[in-house]
Formats: sequence, structure tokens, C-alpha cells
Amino acid sequence: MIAKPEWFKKSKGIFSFEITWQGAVYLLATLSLIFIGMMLPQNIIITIIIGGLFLFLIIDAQYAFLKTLDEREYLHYSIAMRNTAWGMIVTIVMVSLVMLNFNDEVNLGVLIIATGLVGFIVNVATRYKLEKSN
Amino acid sequence: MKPSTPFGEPMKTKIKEHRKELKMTQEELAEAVDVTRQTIIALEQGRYNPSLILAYKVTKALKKEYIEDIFELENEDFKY
Repeated sequence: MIAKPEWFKKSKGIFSFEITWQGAVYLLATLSLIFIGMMLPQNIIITIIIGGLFLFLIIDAQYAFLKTLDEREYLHYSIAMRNTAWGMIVTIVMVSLVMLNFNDEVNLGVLIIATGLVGFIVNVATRYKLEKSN
Repeated sequence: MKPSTPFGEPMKTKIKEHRKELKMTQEELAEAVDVTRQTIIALEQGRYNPSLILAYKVTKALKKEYIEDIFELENEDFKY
């Protein structure tokens, strides 16, 4: 584990969290990997290394962030992620079926955007509802 | 119909009374038991049932000996 929980401190609100300069540097360095990956010559080895490093750093940051949550927030987070996953699965199936019905092919770009959007909405709605009631 | 939390039957708590006796703010209690102030508010309003560990920490932070001094079931109609 590289990222430290104290770099990402949860504050009041659904998504708001305070971030220290170390956390900001960590996230910027992680995101800059995307641009580094685009600048380097395209080959499978570089893509795997950069992609793997990017995923590792993102998961590491998320793991550190989760350690800042207390048990009630962690429960909310878990339920929100479960609902998000179900929302995304249903969206993938439904959008694919609709596109296959009309176009005989699946537009991957539309599918990714629709799935991401539904996941985001379900996540926010679940957290908002839980924060209000619990 | 009894009110309930999304995770089951709510518990009555005496956190607020005991906290005020000790002249402790929600923020101070939250810091003492390592949770957010929102969690203390939810506990005081009976909207969240804490884990056994959190209930124990809250009890000790409020200088009480037993968890039952702070938390009790809304409905005590169950067989022991």
C-alpha cells in the first residue's frame, strides 16, 4: 500500500472529501499515467505495464480512502456499490438488447457511456437515500 | 406500525443525556470513538444501530460500565 488514509479524509456530504497536497500529488501522478501511455509508442507490453500500474494506483488510493470511513459510512458505501453493480449489469443487458434489436450490432461507446451514467446515478441516489434515512 | 431503520429495529439510546451530563459535544464524542459527527447524530436519533464494538466504545466514552446503560431495545418482547 502506497497511499496513506490521512491523505484522503472524508468530510460531510455524499461525495465530498478533503484531500491533502500529498493526496493531490498522488492522484495527479496516477492520472498523468494516461497521458504518458498515450505519448509512448503503442505496443502491447507498454500498454499492459502502464494500464496495470494505473489500476494498481487507483485501487490503492481507493483502499486508502475506504480506511477513512467509519462503520456507518462503510455500510452505506457497500450498499451503494452493490446497487451500482446491479444497475450497471441491468443497463448492459437492456442497452445491448435494444441496440441488437435496432442495429444488429452493439455500439461499444454508447454502451460504456450509458452504463457509467446509470452507475453514477444509482450510486448517488442510494447514498442520498441512506444518508437521509440512516 | 413500529418505526424501523433500513437495517432493522431501531434501538433507544441515552447518548444525548449522558453526553450532556459530561458536557461533551457531539464532535468530541465522535473523536473519542473515532467516527464522524453524522454517525453520532444518527445514533442519538436512533436511526442507526451500531456494531458491538462501537456500542462498547460509546459506553466507555460516556463513562458507563454496561452497554445497557446507554442502549436498549425499542421492543423488549422477545424470549430470553
